[in-house]
Amino acid sequence: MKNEKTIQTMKRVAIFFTIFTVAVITFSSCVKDDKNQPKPYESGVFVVCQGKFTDGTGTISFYDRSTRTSEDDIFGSVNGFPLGNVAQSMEIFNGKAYIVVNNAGKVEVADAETFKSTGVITGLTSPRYFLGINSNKGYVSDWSNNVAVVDLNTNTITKTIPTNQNGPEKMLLANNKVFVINGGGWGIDSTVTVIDAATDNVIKTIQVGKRPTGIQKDGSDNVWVMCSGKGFNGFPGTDDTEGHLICINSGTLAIVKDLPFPTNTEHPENLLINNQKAKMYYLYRSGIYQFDVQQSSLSTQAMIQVNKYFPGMGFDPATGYIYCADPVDYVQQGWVFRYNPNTATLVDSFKVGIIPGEFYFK
Amino acid sequence: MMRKLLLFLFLCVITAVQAQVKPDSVHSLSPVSIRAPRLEDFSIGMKVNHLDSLTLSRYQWASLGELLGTHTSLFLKTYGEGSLTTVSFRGTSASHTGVLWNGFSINSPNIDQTDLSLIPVYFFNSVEILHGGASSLFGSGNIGGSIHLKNDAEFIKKLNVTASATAGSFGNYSSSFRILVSNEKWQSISGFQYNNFENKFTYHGFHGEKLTQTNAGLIQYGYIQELNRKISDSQLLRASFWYQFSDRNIPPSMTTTAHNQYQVDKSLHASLQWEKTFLHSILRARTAYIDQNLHFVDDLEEYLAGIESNIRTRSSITELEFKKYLGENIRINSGGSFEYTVANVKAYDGIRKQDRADAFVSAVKIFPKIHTTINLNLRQDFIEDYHVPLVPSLGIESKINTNLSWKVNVSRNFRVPTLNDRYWQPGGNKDLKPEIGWSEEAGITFNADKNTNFISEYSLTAFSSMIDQWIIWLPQPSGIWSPKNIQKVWSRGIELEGNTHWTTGNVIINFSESYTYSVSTNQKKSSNLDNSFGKQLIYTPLHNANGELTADYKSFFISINQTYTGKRYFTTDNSQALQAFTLTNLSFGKKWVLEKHLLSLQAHVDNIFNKEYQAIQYRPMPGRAFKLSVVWNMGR
Repeated sequence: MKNEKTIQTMKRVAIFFTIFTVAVITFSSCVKDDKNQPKPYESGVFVVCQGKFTDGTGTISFYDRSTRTSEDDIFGSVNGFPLGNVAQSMEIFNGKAYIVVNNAGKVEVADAETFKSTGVITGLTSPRYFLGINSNKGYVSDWSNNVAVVDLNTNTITKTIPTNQNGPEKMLLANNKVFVINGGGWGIDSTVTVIDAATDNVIKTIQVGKRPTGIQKDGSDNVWVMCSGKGFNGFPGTDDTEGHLICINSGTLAIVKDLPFPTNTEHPENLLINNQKAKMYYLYRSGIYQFDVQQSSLSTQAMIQVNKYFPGMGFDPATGYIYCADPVDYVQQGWVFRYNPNTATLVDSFKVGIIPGEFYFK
Repeated sequence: MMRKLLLFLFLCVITAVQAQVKPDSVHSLSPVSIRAPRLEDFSIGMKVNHLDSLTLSRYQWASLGELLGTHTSLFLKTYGEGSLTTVSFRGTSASHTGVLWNGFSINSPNIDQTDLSLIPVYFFNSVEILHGGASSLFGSGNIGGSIHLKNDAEFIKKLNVTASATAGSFGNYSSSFRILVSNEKWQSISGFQYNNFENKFTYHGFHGEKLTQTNAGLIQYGYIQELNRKISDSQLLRASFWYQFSDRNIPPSMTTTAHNQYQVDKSLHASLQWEKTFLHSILRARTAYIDQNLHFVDDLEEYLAGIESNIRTRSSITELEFKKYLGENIRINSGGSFEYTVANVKAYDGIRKQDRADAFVSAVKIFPKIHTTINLNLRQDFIEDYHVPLVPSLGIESKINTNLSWKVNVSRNFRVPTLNDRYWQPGGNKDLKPEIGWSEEAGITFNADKNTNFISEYSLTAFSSMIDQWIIWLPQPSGIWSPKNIQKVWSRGIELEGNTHWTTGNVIINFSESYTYSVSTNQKKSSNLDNSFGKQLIYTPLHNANGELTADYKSFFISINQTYTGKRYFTTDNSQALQAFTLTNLSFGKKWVLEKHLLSLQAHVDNIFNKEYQAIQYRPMPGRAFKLSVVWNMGR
């Protein structure tokens, strides 16, 4: 009886919605012309959620700053198929979103405003990050120790630039040069590879501190590299080394600053920079630290003690907030915490997909 | 620790000696009942199922995983035929399932699990399933349930040869051969089994395109030799040797690209058992050596970082056990064992060794007037670096009338952390405590036997268990995964089982069905954001059911088997789930008998409705598959 009632109600609801939907479609198709398709992802924050390891799929959560709501798996719901195993990072370039899917060895390409799939770059081994160079060319760093050069018109790999270093990761364009940090992959590394963006040739391999994990460019085109140091927080090893914050002059490629962290037991991670490209932020000792690029030594006090570990953080130019990803137990929906660096307070938090990591702000 | 052990053993011996002092008046205890193992004699109030020999004979081509998946309502977690397959009981995890061969645990000491796809049904004539915790009988890890494998010894003049060949869809072939020779004093069983699977099935990709499974081929073979010697009417010596080899490729998930991943497993099990029966008692000494070797290679990882896993563990277990009957209505059992394990694992940062010892005592008293049996078991394990509590269990079984009986059992159960939990670098946690908890169950059994032509039995069991300090691997600040005693899991539910056997004229009909409902929830929050509190554990269905209808007519048989696997969450906050699925299998065959020879032809159609499903997220499973088996048997 109960079931029958429920079915009756469901039916009524379904009929209502059908009529409603038909009405809306008819109405909206009368008003709008075809060119003005809805652009649901025109402006907001894209949260790259890695997805469950081994058997899961990555997702992209979209956060609307004005309504303060988030929608999970926009790629899957728009395109009807999952992104693939372990979504590592995302970049928007020339109106297209490039989502790097690590274990699937591919970069999914989608329209940045509708998120409709427009292509896929395959043939990669263990891709990590995408960097747009010009309208025809992009780079993809790959743990097979090279940087792939992609023709953005055809989404094909035209050549690979061997870095001969372990685990190429994040990349940055400064002074027509591409700076690639070599994080070590499954091993250890302590270099930055510099590539001429015009000729795709390696110009120089710069020795920095061990395990570079973050890279930013300041207002004077100086390149800052966060080296986390050998070892992992909470699992001390006998040959662990301290972290270093290193500044490279992008013109001369000389190291102009090398600021060591005080101990080898705690490792700094996640390097961010603000709108004015003058203040940087990083995670250290379960706190968010602030660093002015003019400073000659590291800050000794955290700006905000968060007492958490965030595998991914981002600086939102639109709000000036720091976004921090918390994957909880890595097997349930994660959270994003927003901090205001000006007031050093937590603003709010919202729920996203499984294992949030990187952010892209639009 | 040693002192505690000695004291305990001393107490056991005292009990046994005192028992001998008492004069008794038992006249006839059959050798069979005297020889009954612990599993039979001291599992009062527990639920024990025997898979019948007919079913075993019809699933000779299968692995133990396939057999349990189609004939029990246990939850099978499988990556496909020949791929990693584990089983879990009553909403617990695969590490809470004990797998015992000749009474010795063959679970890998690294992960406390056994891959059931590596165990050929063909090698054993006895498969018993104990539902519920039995740490008091079999020690660490026996929390959810256990599977017991063995061959029974028999001393009659006999020569029996069996050979079989099976060809199936997707390029899958297997064959087996067994020869049994015995007389009044000796028995030898030799078995050989070989599988060559290509597993080239097709499935639909995300865009509806037809895809063929890649990198899923495997070769497996095994050899078993049992040699049994009846020294005298009261003395028996048994030697067993079992070697199993498997070389399999590991197929990619639908969301990753294929790269060359493969795994080679080699395991060697050897055991020696001696037993001597006295007038009212039996003394048993047993020893086993188990060598397990796993070699995992991922070409991609190897290329990128030179990662290659080599895991080898060697264990030796020795056990002494003494059982004594005090009159017809009392039996007691006591004993102890010692186990030594050496693990050679690159990620353990050197060779690791582990010592374990235990002492156990059990008593059963039968109250014939009220048709009631009471059983108390006690076991104390002594494990290096751990404090393990005394684990008792108390069981009662009672008959209300010829058709109706009930049973209850309360037990304390535990599991010590695995070697991986302790030593894996990075992440291994040496400060872990054992998982520990209490389990309760109560059941009624109703049999509606009319006569020997109509045998029908139904049972209903309710269970509940609360396991604290449940170990899970969690990412720590810095992203390194490490095991913690973080969860408390409450699993409760019911099991319903039925079997009807009906003979009418030339037709024999057998109908069996089982259903498990298990709610298994996490009762502890790891942080205030943790949304897994009160939620069902991942990959633990609420509902699991299975049914089989078999009809035999003269030399023909036909059998329909159906399994239902309920919805399984794969996120701890239960936000996402895999759909339930029902699989239907059909088997039929005919046999021809010519003097001493028996030839049988069997056909199997698995997944007859070609259902597309996923047992594990994004792992495609095969659709309809055909198998044809020819079995030749010569015996006298």
